[in-house]
Amino acid sequence: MRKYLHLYKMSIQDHFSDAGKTFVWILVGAAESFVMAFTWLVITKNQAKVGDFNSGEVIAYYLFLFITWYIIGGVFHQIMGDQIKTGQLSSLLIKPIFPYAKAILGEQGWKTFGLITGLPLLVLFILVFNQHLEINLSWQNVLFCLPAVVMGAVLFGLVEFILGNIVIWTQNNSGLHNLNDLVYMIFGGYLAPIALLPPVIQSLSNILPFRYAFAWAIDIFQGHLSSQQLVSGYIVQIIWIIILFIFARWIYTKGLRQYEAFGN
Amino acid sequence: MKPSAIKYLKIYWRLTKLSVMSQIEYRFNFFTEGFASFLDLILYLAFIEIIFNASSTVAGYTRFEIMLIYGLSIIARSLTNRLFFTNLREISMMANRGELDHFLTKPISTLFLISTHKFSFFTFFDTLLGVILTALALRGLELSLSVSDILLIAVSLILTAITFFHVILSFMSFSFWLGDINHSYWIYTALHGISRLPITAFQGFSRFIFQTLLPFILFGAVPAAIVLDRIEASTLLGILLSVLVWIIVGQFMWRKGLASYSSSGG
Repeated sequence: MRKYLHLYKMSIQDHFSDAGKTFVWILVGAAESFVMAFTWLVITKNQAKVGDFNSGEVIAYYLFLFITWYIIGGVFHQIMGDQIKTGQLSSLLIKPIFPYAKAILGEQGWKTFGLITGLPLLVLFILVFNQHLEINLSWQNVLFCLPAVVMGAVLFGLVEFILGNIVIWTQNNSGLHNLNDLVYMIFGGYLAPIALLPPVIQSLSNILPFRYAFAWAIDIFQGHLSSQQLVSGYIVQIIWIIILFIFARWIYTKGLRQYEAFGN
Repeated sequence: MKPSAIKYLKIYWRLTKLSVMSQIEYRFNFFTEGFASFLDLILYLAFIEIIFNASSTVAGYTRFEIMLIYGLSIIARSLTNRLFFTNLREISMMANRGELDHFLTKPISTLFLISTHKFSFFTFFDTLLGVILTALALRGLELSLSVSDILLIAVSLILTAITFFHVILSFMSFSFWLGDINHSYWIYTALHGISRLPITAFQGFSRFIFQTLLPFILFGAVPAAIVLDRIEASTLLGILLSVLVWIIVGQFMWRKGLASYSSSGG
């Protein structure tokens, strides 16, 4: 366990030593949230409500998306894919650690760095949209939301791990990367709160795993769910984690048998 | 046509052919890219649906007018990205690895070769998606494009390409002094979402930023406003001024940067 903790610490140090580059990535994430919040500001200019949401809650939703990215998110499947494609995995396989540990923990270090350095941007977001934000803090919602955040991070990580392993068969996963982004946009609540989506997409979102990474935790935090929805949602989230875990293990062992490196 | 123009066209054709061949080599990727574009269409239609469930108009624009902005914006983005922009961000990487030498020693324009050396074939799917959305919007608006409309859209597309070519070139030229900053390209893509809002959505400070300083409205809002006959002469004048300024800044930064290039790195 200590060696993994060490890798994580090293990753944070790396990001601090290359702070400029990492900060630009944080700006990218912030820019997306600003654009979406601005878009909703224009849409709801003369409206108090959007579906079951107050317009201020919709804008706050994008603020929470920005924050949760640094707790739940962190894309590492491309790093895994590159390790496979370039043959770097060969040298990682002979080390006494999990071969993808550096890829996964490197991204966790990035998230920690992002959470710290993203604070000024968070303040800026609040200042810019101050008059239009509606945040109803309730300890009950915060408490219920915490397990959803932790399990959301596990679920997101498992999907990333599976996507990374697929490169062993496909050699290139840029298409899969775009597809994954879009699926999260549509069914994962990146585009808009799930409750505002058309009914067909809402129904699919409830069944598919993507909602349970980010949107689920934010929905709980914003207090939009009944106790019955809360229980059933948690059950679906747990079921998906189990399914994805089994699949991730299977694809990992199968992939290692299939993996071959050549060249210099 | 001048012989040099023919030479450049021939080179461009060869580079494009090579890029396409290397990209369709990965079949699985080809299908996932295609499917992703199909999902993109659902995404845009769903978002327009959400918007108009919440409001009857957006900054005075109706459902199909907004769809027209989306369609035209996607077409402009896919064409400009495919032709130049994804290549321009490589300036930053190449300048820091000393790889620019490879381009500088060729007997043709360095900027031409850098900006066209890879052709992003898959964005063709996005162009198709933009055309579908535009057609759906025009049908909904019961409008048909006249020859002059098409010409004006083409002019707007060229202006978009010229402006953002120089915007990205200016930023990437900083890498000659600051090191590899190619990832800052993603700020441009992140801000691109703003181009799907109508001109009337921007007031005060946001108007200055997105109409004058970084005229993202050129992608979709301006050509749509031209088709819908909802654009003011003063807006067009401001955009033209911005285009001119970006050409000067872009060319200046590139030349200055290139003069500082020392071919260091691996």
